[in-house]
Amino acid sequence: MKKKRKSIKRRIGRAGIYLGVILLLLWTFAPLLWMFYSSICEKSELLTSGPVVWPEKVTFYRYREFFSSIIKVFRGGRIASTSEVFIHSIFNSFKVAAVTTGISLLIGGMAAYAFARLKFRGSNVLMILALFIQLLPTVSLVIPLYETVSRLGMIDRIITLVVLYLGMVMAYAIWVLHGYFKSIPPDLEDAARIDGCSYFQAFLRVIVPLAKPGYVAVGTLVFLMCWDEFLYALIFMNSKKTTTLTVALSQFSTTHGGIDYGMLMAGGCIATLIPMLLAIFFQKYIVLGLTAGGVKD
Amino acid sequence: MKRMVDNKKLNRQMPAYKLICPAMLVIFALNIYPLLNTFVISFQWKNMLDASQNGFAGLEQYISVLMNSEFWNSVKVTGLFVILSLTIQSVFGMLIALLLNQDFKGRRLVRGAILAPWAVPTLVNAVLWGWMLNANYGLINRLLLQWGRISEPVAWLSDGKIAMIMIVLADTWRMLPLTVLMFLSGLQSVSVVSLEAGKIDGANVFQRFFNIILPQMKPIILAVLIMRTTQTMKVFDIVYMLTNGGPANGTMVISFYTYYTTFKSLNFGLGATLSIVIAGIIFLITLLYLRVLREA
Repeated sequence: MKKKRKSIKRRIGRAGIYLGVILLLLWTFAPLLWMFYSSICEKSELLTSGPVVWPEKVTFYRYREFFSSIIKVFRGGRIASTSEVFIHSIFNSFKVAAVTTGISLLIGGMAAYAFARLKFRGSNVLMILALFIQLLPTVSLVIPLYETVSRLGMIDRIITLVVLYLGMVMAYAIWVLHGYFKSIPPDLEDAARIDGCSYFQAFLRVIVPLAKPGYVAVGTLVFLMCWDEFLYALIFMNSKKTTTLTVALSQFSTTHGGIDYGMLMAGGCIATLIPMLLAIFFQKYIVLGLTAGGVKD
Repeated sequence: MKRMVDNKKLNRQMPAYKLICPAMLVIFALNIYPLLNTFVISFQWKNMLDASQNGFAGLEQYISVLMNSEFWNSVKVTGLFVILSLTIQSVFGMLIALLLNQDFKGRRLVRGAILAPWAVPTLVNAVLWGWMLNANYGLINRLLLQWGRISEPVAWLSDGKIAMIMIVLADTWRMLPLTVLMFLSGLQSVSVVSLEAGKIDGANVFQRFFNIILPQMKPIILAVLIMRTTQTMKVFDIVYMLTNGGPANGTMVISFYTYYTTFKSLNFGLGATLSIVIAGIIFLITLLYLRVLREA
């Protein structure tokens, strides 16, 4: 009797778990599905307040338009239409994010190694400084940066964004990589040093390969931070040629003035593609990078 | 003899300085220098629209910020956003983490899948929610109409209080996975032995949660709180996209207020003052947290 009651209770518990999981998945994926749905159904089905139904006719004309813009942008034509600006902005974002990630891993990794292994004057102060810097909002740095950049005539130059983003991610990269280097036993590179390697060789040959997960984690997150950034791009890049994807999306509209929500959602799907792939492939590393750094979004 | 020791010390220091040099250059040029510069500007009148008044201001801009009701409104709005987001996300984050810590089919897949919203760029998230909350054609109104929950469309973003809740909702959708994953990694470090012991002693589910799980998860909970506080205090993109600080300043968070003062009213002096005040507030909260963290 008692056993039976227990098994019923258990079954209810099971059902509760599955119900919870289903609700969780609905909450997680409904907005994403709506974004995709909006990008593939006809305008007449989009601009209605009627009940939500399966689209009568699926259409990919928006994606086709983006695709033909890719060809046009590659041929180097004038960037005029919304979709051309958007495609060009995706390339800009990719360039900026990739270059920033590469440089920050290189010089951030070097600094992190020094902080983790070598004793030198001021290292503690600098580490605390790096922590505080991560907490600063970009808004509180932007005024002098704007003045300097415009004095140098570097507004509207893609390279400016790379430099600004390096400043945005450097403290984070150092902080997380430093933690990772510390978790690697120092005996390994001591052995390499005894074998005649210089500090730099020991770092390059022994530490970097061992710290690969840390590098992947930081690299992924730094890339995503750059891909996501909005305020700097909004203030420093003002032309159609230099705008990044976040700014392009924020200024999305048809030439007639109204917002074309279908195109906007198609653009949103495209802009989400790369981060989504990174999240799927590097999930393990992302959690590592987030828990180790702990402060940056 | 002493010189030799010094030389040796120098040798250990030299590669270190060489290694940190490029990174420190970046940090000083792009973080420290601008911050100090902002601090200097905050003591100057610097209005780009009306340069006639420009010059040394002393503490006057600080006084005018502290006397300004718009500033205090933005502090209140930011505080509200932080508290609402943090509360909702930690409570639901914990519940979902506990759920995903149970044994069920496809658990690994579900754990991976819930990260999807976090991968959506913040601005895309804002645009997406703006579209879903659209008064005429938005998904939410359409569904509520379809199910007979409302008889006519609701303008979600035209009331300050409701708009605030919607911004919290949009932020929660994107950031909740992060909280869940961090809590999950914390749950995995809770000792199984102590849980079993609790079970044998006859502690029920709630007792086990509050007396065994929660105390052991204190460090990760604090880490999540610190991270999310500093993130939510900086909220900008969603507000810029969804409400522009409105309606009636109901969502005028402090970073957007600073942006508006600086780049729309073009008052760099006052904008700098606001920036320094924000940096100060964030700094104090961090110190507070670090103290709590150390005690824990």
